Amino acid sequence: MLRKFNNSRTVKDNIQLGALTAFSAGMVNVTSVIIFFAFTSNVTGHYAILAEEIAKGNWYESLIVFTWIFMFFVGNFTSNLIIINFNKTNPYAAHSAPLIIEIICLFAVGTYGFFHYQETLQETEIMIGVMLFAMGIQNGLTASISNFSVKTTHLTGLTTDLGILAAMFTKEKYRKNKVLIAKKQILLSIVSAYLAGGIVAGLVYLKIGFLVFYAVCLVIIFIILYERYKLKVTKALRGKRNKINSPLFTK
Amino acid sequence: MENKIPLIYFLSILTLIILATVILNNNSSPNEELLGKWEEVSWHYEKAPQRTGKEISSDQLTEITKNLIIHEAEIWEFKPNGNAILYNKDSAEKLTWTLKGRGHILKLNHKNSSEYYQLYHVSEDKLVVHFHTELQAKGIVKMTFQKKI
Repeated sequence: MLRKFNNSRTVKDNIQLGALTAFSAGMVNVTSVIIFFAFTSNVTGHYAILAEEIAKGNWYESLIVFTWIFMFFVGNFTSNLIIINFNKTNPYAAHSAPLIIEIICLFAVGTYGFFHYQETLQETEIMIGVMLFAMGIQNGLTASISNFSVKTTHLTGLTTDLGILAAMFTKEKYRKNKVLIAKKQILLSIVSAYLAGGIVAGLVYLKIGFLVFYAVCLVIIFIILYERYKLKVTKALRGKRNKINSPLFTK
Repeated sequence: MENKIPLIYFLSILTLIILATVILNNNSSPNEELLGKWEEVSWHYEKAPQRTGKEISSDQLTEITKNLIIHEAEIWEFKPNGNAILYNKDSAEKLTWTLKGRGHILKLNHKNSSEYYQLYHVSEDKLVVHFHTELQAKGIVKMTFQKKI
């Protein structure tokens, strides 16, 4: 899921990566809307708000919204900077490192929110910025390693793709096209996981408040560990196969 | 060109930081703009439940605000320490306030309950607050205040 890059990825890899990261993005977005009244996994709305605030002449608010958009941009930049520089030496580490940064950000938000949050505007603005940075990191990672076929923090493009696919599936030749079927599976799994993550976060937040961010961290840790496990299994199988195929063994 | 990239990135970031500093120094945050006493001057529907008109009668007003913290409040006072006082004809109610989002959501806390209002416009002398009402029919109520000196 994390160790493969671009075109070497299978549909199953993309579904796993897409669904799990979309689940965590759904959790983060719904929680931020409940607590902070701001979206943190998508920036389209923030661009519209930025334009509105500039038109109204509210320069302080414009600056805040611009900073949030910029944090999402920096998140995407950071994850891809890591991938570009370390992908050849250790793809697994290069793909896990952004997720570890994301965990640190969300863990910090959860911990600060649970123990210290005084509900001041400044705290709110900073925490939203940190969450947008974390979501930028995740989006940059998933988009980059899936050859731009998986974007999990926002669903605008995905809903567009689903609409296009639904129209194409009115023709039989497209319904039998394996590439399009795979695309549909990926998209539907991302939508379902995002929605499920949002619903779960909404319900869990009522019980545990800010600790819901720890639950998101657990989901991301699961992605990293699952990949580590799969990597070990693959290595073991490869070793076994090499042993069987080696001239010494066949004799 | 490759050697110039770090310089271009650095200068871009520096420009943004300078711009941000200038904006922060020349504009007050919504927190500061809200401080002081605000006197209610009008109640209207921003989005009326029916097409018949945007006026809110005093009976409707009493009904809409019946279970709200702001019920019958005529003057709202916001203090810098997060406390607020809502004055009506004969009494005053103490509560706390905070802003959410980008400073566009006003949260009022009273005893164990909280209410949220959207700050549509805040300037030196005018405050416009919106809130959704689902009483009888859905609509958005617009409250306009003037700064009390």
